[in-house]
Amino acid sequence: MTNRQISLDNIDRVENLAFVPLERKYLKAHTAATALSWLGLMLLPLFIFLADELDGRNLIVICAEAVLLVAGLINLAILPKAYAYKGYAVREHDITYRSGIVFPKTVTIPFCKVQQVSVRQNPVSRMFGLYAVDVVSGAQMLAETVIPGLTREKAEEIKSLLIERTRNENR
Amino acid sequence: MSGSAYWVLMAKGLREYASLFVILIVLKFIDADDQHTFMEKMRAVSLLSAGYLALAALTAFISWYFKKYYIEGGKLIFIHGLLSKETTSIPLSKVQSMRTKQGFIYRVLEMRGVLFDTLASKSAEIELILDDRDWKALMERVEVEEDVSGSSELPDSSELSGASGTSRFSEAAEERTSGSSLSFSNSNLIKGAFCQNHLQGMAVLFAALAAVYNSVTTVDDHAVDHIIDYVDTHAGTLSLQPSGYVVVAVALYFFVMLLWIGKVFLRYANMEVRIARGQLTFESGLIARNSSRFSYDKVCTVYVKRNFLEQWLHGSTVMLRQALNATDEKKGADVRVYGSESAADFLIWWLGSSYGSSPEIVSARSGYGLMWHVMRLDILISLAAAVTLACFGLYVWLAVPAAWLLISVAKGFMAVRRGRITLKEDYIEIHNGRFADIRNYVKYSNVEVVRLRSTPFTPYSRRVSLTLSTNGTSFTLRSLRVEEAREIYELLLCNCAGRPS
Repeated sequence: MTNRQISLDNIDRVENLAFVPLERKYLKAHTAATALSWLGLMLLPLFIFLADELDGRNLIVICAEAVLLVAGLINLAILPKAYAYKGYAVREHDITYRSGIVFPKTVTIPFCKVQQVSVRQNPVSRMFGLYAVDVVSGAQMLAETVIPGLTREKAEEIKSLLIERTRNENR
Repeated sequence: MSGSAYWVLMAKGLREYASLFVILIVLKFIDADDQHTFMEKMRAVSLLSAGYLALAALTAFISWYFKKYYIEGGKLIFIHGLLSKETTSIPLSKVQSMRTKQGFIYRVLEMRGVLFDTLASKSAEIELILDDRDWKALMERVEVEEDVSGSSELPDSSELSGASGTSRFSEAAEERTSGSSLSFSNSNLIKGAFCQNHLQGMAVLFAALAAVYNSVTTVDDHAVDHIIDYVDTHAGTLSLQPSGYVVVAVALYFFVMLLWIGKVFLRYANMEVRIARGQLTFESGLIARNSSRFSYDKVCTVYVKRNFLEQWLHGSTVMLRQALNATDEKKGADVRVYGSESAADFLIWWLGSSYGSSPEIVSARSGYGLMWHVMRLDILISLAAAVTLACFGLYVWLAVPAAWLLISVAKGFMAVRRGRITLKEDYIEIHNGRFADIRNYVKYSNVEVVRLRSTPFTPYSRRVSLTLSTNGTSFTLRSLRVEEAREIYELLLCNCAGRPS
């Protein structure tokens, strides 16, 4: 085994990487999924109408719906900023995914630790023709990293690249 | 499996059907519509008992007769099932850990239950019930296979029971297992248990109470109501002076402490550890002996804790944390050694004899953001308690949340003092803990994923959180300087990518 000293000056550091943005359509898909989630949440206070003996039901429901509406609108408003921050980057030995708006985070998985790669779709992303790559490692926490908002070709390309690199790294 | 294994399976069968049998007997006697005489009822009970014994004997026989195992081509092949025959193959070189259990029945019959784990196992674990001769033969085979993994020298097929003790296997096994043995005194174990948080005994107490509650409610649904009514009726005569409550609290504390020490003593008494080149074998237990044998590769973190009591009494708590598979999570397979100064032995085995002199590459300390993280819940609880007490006009009692907050400040301050990550040439050392000094040792090859997380305050504080996850543990270092955290992030990735597990 070799164990040479590592000079960080000679490597492309994660903070200096050019992150590949997700597809433009992903913003629309994410907006649709978020709007649907909030609409679903807004249906819940309507069950208060079933409680006949509760006084001031109308006021409670209006207040709850107003709070949920404002929260949903704020969430939708920050989605473009969150989308702009999201991206992935591939280096020689690892893949990095960046996301988050209030708590921005960067996750890096070395190729030699990748255990499984899969491509998947959910009903909303299927409507927009988008795919997500699921990278699974053996970690106890952060075992699964999902890179969403990819075209089929891009998702397959990343999957093939990860599988090939993983095989080479473990050889 | 040998004939004695049948009796172990029989005992298991009797235990399995015991509750059904008892319920049937009780129903027979309390059935008001049943007009049979006492003798007729006794005859029915005899028949039920015979059926119970026959059922246990039959299931034990099926389980015993249709369970076969042998070693072929470096694989342990296990065949079981009556109608749907199932064959499970485990490559011996992939066996990550072997655990044994010897409950009371096993010890009477001089048998042991052997359980296997492979690192990526998702299937239910397999238990073989073996006598000492077969157990030794199996161990030798596994050890030889570990040494000559992939070698074609092994014979293609051999029955395990008939192959015990061939000289070639014995020699290889002896060479393989030649290493040091550590014995831990029971007085050190009691000392170690005493140094822990005694309130852990509450879990033992609640588990015992839950078992009693279940038994009582099984017998009679209204039994709990009767007890509550009784306590309600006699509550007036049981009222105590304030000093009486203090005495009861102290007595309860000592009771809980004794429960905790007793639990640890039962589980870890007479502990023996055998350290060989690539394997570690633990055996402990006062009545039921349990052993755990696992490979060097399965350990993902060595945890060493010293609280102020342990430092004062020259002890430590060492935990070998293992990579998790599907079954480990349920059982908590981590091995703990209480009260002995044995951390160095385990670290030398795992990191090498020169681990102490490994040069430091870089280190980073947590800032005061960690203090807020540690205190956040305590602040909320103290505020809520203070507001409630003020609302009820209990101003003197405000001292309690104030004291709680003071303890929390001390806890947060100590956490900041201790929070540190150090990258050494050969391993990573992560310090955490609050009042106790906790050191976690992780090898670069065990790091699976690394994450850097900012907060809304990062642009002003220049502090971030760094998370590293192994296949059995994860650590988050909070409030590290951005520049230091980024450097550590890159070095972790370079090192773990360069040293695949």
